[in-house]
Amino acid sequence: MLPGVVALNAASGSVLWTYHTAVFFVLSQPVIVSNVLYLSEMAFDNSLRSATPDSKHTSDVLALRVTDGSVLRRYIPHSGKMFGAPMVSQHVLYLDIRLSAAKGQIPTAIVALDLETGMETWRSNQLQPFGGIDVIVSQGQIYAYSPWDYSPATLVVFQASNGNQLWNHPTNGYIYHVVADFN
Amino acid sequence: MHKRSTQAWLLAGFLPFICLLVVAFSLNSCSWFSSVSGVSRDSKGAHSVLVTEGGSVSMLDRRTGRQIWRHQTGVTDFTPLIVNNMIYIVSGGYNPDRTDTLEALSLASGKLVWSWSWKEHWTPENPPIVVDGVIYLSESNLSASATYSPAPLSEYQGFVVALRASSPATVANGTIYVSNGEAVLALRSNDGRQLWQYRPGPNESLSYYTQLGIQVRETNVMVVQGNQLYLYLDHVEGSHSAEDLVALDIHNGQAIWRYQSHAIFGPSCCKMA
Repeated sequence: MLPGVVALNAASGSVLWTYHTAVFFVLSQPVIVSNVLYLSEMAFDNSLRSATPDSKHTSDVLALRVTDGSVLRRYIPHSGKMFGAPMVSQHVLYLDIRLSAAKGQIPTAIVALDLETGMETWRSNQLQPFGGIDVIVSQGQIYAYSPWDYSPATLVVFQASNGNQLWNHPTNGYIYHVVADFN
Repeated sequence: MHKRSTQAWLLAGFLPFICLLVVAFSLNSCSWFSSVSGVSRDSKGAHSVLVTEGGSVSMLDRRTGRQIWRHQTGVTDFTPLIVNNMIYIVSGGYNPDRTDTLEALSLASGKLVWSWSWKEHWTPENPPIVVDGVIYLSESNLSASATYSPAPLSEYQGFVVALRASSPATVANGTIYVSNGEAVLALRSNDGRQLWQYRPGPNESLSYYTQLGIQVRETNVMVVQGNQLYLYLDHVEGSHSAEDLVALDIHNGQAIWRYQSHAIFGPSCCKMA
């Protein structure tokens, strides 16, 4: 069975709709905003040993209408390989992008796409070789950090509107959580 | 705490899985992923950011990144809870004295206000949750007397409930839903009285967490919405594991429906729409 999404009626358990990937993509954690479900379909090399994006298939962010599962659109960054779950806030889609690099390195950037047009509005400077980024959007700021396998980790904060880096918080180890909204 | 590697995540990701979207039309009592709820409206929150990192908890000024305070402790990777001008964290995990500790810190200063420790099993098992200002902590290694609001917690009773249980707690509508390793129990939240229990079939086991994702233990799969409790049941199909989604009636624990996926569910399933 190919990975996919199944929507059930909560009261009866009956299947409302299904979506399955065309090939064996890895699916990210889904997010639902305004009755649209966004999730990343990520293609990787068969071996999976190097975390190298698959060159044969294009990774994208899929937008499904929650009510019927129809594909509203696909978002694809103009360069770099998408990695990780999408974040949606204020009509902007934020993605974690893998940049080309020497073997053994996984440099990363955050890309902001306009939800309406799909156009890239900004791209952050290259971040340290995170193993995967968690992105939090709060009060006009983007908080990016890696809870994965890179140490020491750094919390990097950007202006959500233009991607300008505001400050960073280096640590001596791992970052587990960032809580930016207390109310 | 150890970190999960990217490679491990990717390998896990190649298991056949599906994301499950439960579409409902009444969200009044939704309690999905309620690990940070009932939070304070303290004005400090508007200007600061909390970071838990290896060896410490820090409060930073969100405009400049300047450190406001720092509390050094062996914090675990559980999501910190913020409620009533306090921060609740679990520290421990691989401590030499083999204890885990629930620490209550002042939101304003980061100073330790109180703490409560217990002997750990292997690692801290389940993230605490907060519902309506009450912290619910569930660990299988809590003492037998700690089945519900144990005596050692007397000083903190009323806002901490400790449960000797295998799964994280799900709390909704005055009822605690938790697994004791063999069955799902529904406990009345004001006194711990058992209301009903649901036992899986002989070849089934309960899933407590989703299979994938960095914060795997944070995603309790027992979820209450409306009059139904949703849970996952594992079983073997041929050469692989499969999960079914089961809906129980919250009033009596009777199964209402079951969705057979013939696969495993992916990260942070289910999602509500």
